[in-house]
Amino acid sequence: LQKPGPQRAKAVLLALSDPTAKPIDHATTKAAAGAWPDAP
Amino acid sequence: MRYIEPHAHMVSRTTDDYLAMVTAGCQAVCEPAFWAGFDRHSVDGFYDYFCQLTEHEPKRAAKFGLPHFAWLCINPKEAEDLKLATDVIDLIPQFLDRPNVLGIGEIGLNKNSRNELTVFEKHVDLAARHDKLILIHTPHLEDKLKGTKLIVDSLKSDRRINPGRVIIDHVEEHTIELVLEAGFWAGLTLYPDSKCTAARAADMIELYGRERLWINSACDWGVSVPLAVPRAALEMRQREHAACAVDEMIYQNPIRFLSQSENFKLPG
Repeated sequence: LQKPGPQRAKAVLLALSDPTAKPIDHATTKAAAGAWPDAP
Repeated sequence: MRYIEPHAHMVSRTTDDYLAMVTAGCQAVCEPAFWAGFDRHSVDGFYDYFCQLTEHEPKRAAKFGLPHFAWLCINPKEAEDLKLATDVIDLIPQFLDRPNVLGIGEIGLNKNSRNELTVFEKHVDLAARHDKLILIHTPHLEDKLKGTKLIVDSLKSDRRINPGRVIIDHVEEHTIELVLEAGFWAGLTLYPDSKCTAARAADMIELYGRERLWINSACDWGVSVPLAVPRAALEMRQREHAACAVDEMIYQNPIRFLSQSENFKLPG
């Protein structure tokens, strides 16, 4: 993530994203937290 | 400078905002239906909102010489009440023939729930049955990538949907490619605290080009900037993007997409 270059923002956003594929059962909140809870 | 504001929630803005936008060169404003900041509890509330978008707000904009267009839907933030969402979707057809209505939007996903996806697909079906354009909201932050993939997969599975008549809004660096590669239009939304800054928008334009791309402010009742589009144009000019390239991004491209609706007409 610390490498310079045009794909750095993309790499940061991917690292914070929910990588799962299935819809969740119910939305229990309307807000996003900023990072997927299980992000490294 | 001339520009189209293709996504702004003007019912939340002041007349000073209208005046500033027109002074900056705005030639038309397009207003998708939105979440009010609180959940509405009856279909009557949406009836009144759709009247506001199709009758009253165009008159307010006209006082500043600005053509006003609208998109209709129930927002994904209100999709967990399936009964209400279905009733609202059933209400929409009686408004589709109004002269400023462009299509169905901003539909999409927020937290990527099953009910949100169900309501999204009902909206897409409505748009397909009435041959209307579609404007799509993608989720925020950690939910954006997954939601964008779910949306793109859902649309690609519906043979009635022409990607060239769908704009997927609020793309960022990690979603823009998958939207454009699938043949959809993509929207860059400029917010001071989230989504995308003018500098990031200019970066993405430099990386991915200008084809099937527009810029919008999505200004609403929260922290947002009604002049975000002309400010992004200034960012492009400061980076020595040609004046014609800026005009393509902020004026010609929105017209190219929106003109697919017979209701989108600019005066004279």
